[in-house]
Amino acid sequence: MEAEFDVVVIGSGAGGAPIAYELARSGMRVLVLEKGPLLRTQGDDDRGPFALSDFKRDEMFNAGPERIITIPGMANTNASFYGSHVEPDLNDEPHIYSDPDKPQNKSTVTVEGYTAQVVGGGTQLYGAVSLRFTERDFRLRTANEGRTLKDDPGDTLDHVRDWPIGYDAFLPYYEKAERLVGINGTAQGQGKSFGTNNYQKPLAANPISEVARQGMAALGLATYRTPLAVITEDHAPSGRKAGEPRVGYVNRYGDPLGYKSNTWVSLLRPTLKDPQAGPFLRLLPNAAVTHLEASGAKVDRVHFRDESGRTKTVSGKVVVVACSAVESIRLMMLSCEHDPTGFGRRARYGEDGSLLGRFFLTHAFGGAETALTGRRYDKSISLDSDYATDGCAGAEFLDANGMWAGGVIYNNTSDQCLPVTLARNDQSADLDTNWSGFMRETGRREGAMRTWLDHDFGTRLSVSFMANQIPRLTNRIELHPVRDKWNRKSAHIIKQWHSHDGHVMNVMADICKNILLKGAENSGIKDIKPTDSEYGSVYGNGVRIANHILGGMRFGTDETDSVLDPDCRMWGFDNLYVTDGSFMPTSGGANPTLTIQANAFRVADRLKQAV
Amino acid sequence: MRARLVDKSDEYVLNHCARFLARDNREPRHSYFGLEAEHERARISDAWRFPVVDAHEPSSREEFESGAYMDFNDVTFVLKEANDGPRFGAVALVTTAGALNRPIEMKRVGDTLYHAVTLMVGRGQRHRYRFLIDGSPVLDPVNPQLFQHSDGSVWSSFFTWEYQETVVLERWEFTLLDRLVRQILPFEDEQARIFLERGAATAQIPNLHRLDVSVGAANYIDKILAREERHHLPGYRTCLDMIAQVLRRRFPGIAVERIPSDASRSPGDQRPAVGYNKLYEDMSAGTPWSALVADGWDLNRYDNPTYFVNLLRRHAWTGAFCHPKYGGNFGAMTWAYLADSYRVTDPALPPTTAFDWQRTIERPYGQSTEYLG
Repeated sequence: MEAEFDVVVIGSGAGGAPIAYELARSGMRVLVLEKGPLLRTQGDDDRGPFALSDFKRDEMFNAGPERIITIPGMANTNASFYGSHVEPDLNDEPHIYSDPDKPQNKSTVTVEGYTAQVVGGGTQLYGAVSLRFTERDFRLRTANEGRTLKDDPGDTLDHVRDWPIGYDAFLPYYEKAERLVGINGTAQGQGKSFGTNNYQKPLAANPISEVARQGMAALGLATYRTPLAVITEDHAPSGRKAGEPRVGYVNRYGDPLGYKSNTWVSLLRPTLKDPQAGPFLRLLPNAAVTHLEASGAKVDRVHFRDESGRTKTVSGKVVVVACSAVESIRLMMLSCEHDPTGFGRRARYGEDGSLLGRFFLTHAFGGAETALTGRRYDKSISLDSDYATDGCAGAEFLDANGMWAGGVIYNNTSDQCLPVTLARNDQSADLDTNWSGFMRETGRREGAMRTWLDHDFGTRLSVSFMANQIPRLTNRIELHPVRDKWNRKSAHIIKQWHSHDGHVMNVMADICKNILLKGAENSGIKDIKPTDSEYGSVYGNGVRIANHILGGMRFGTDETDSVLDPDCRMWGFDNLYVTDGSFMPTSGGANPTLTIQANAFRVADRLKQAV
Repeated sequence: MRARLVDKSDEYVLNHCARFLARDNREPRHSYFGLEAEHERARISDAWRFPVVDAHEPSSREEFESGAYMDFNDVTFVLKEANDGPRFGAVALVTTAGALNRPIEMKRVGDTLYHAVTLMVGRGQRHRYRFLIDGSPVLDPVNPQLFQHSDGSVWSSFFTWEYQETVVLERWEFTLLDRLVRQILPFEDEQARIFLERGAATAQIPNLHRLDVSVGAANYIDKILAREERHHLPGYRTCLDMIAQVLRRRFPGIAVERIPSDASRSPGDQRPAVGYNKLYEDMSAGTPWSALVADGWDLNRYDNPTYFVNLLRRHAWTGAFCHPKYGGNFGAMTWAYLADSYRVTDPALPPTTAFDWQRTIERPYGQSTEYLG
């Protein structure tokens, strides 16, 4: 393989693939290095129409057999975990979580904070919710000037920054991403301004979702069909044909038929197949980048391990890091430790006031769920979500509730629609506690098991919110001395909520509960028992991340107050860019993938001029 | 029998093995509970994935339209050279999936350190194999499944999808396990029993006598103890042995499969439990498990019977409702049971099934016209 490229992109997901797509089509020689394998969709290469997919409609691909955490000295050493087939083994590549507010507590190894290690990255497994952020999400410092917030100890807004560019600058890139990725949904009812509407037409909603829509309407919340990165019509930009994507195997599954618009089927595969652009793109799966090396301000060598584990090196005029926030920050820090006086000094690693790894973000999230008494639906005829509302993101709502920022609310349709997952997720708080609820309910068996199925199978409806999280200086990514399978230091996630996050989450969870109660009432469903319902948030559970891993290398105009410049180039370097979610100064009031993709398209435009 | 080779791309092989096998760290991090810590397989993740057993891919329209491809798996054998070790010369495979006197050449995958070959093997089979490195036989250093031949020789082994003979459990262990699983799953009432037996007969499943109403969950557990969750095999062996002891003390002279149990338990059931129900409740009781200990359970051998019940619950449920390829849910009968039992209930909608799984799942289990499995 050639050793020199115009652009080396590390990561093939939402942050990396748009760069590769744009620059290969501009005639630049692009190499994409992906840590994970290239798993094919059905019939997607030259083997003919019967070439099977490496993804399967198989619940064991979502969260497979039990594995055991063997990293010594952790609070959960010897505990079980259940990962998907494309998430890393936690013993090979641990993410270690610590609570900054309780440093006396032991750390835990967590499955939270991964996306997926596969070509397409997290877009292979995600639920495909593809929302824009609101105009306000880009300027939360300005929007909060002079406001009084509830549960504000005085420091809530200390580290809140406006984004250096606003919604208007993002708009053409949102439109481009929506067109090229392939997204269905509706614009009407959204709390953002739309120029061009590139959505494909949504399919009929699952009838259980109507209860949620009724609830939102009863509370005066304008609704729209949740934009989902799943094609419902033939998609010309990627050459994909429409089919029936409503199969229940959506969230946490790779789609064997490629209807879900992951970045492999929507961006990379079409580029490789394009007669003009294809020769300019090289995709190398199973290639784990270990560190970067710089000469002065220029990163000129990318060190990686090939599929056999042998050391290899390539170089690029430009290097783009897009490994997902936690892993990108780790890669930067590992590169700093390889060369503390060169790379490290330029990245300001370890200096007082360095922001590398700081202001790590996820989302304030939670929701409500209930069993709908006397109703049952085939929830497997579904995508991940049907209806959404921005009614809790606008100024009027935020003023009424003393909140700094809000977020989107949407119903979940496919959750727990399949029998193994129904049990696996029963009473489990997160991916770290899969199966624990079902296993300990020892009284539920035989007839009682049937009663539980009667009660829960096809009856459960949930509504979730996804809101901005307050940036805290102490929320950060560091290196942990525990070594990964390449003997490199692991990622250490140190994170907890701000007290105002608790207020935001309480308000939003309450709205979600009321959506369900009102929706049930207006749908003629009576007697929903409090014991059938759960509502709440992840407040107090700092480890929860929802796989929305953001911040840690925020962009800005002031070199002393940010890690990346407004073009997402790392301060101190001429040719090093970061395009995953780590650039975000605030996390936005919606799922982040579309914004990561739009930003990567934006940075690609800058790179066309720079190279 | 001459093995039928399948031409898999280098990309396929690497995508199914690199992330598990390539590494520097030599700590035995995948030796759960210290098992086999001295073996190579304790140093890599997901050793159970080898050899890779995948759906057989039709190579032609004729093969696809005949449906014959659904009777086979593609099994890919992989052997990796050490990064700092010598390069192998000739590498070959000998296996009962082909003919033991006809070694099958394993080719180097591109310029990598892997050697591989893929065979087409019938579903529901178990075979033994060894690698030949420059003519010398070696066991697969990664695959944890071993097979001891009647002549005393030890081989690596594998099984394909829906294999229905026991792999790691003794016959009596399997029988007892099957009985325990029935205490958990919701198929004990008459309606469920009739439905599942009819479904099993329709699916023409061999060894129907094994199924009873555990719907293959015990078979699934045998398979997962052989591969994915091999770390639980010693615990199962110990617990099944002590459960048999407790039952023998409580029901002297009665074979475990004939020990009575009261009728299906319902929520709020106030009747005292007997037989297997009592056993289950005693095991679930939590410390100090007095009733169990009184009848011979040795807490020094296994100190948390409730943990075993919890484990059994997860395995039983997964085995009952997972994809049939894993050895449970024979003929997709539990999915059919859910589809038959649950109807859409909404005044505005027709009462169609509330679990139309067949539209989603590949043939021969389902009827998807798009998805080939």
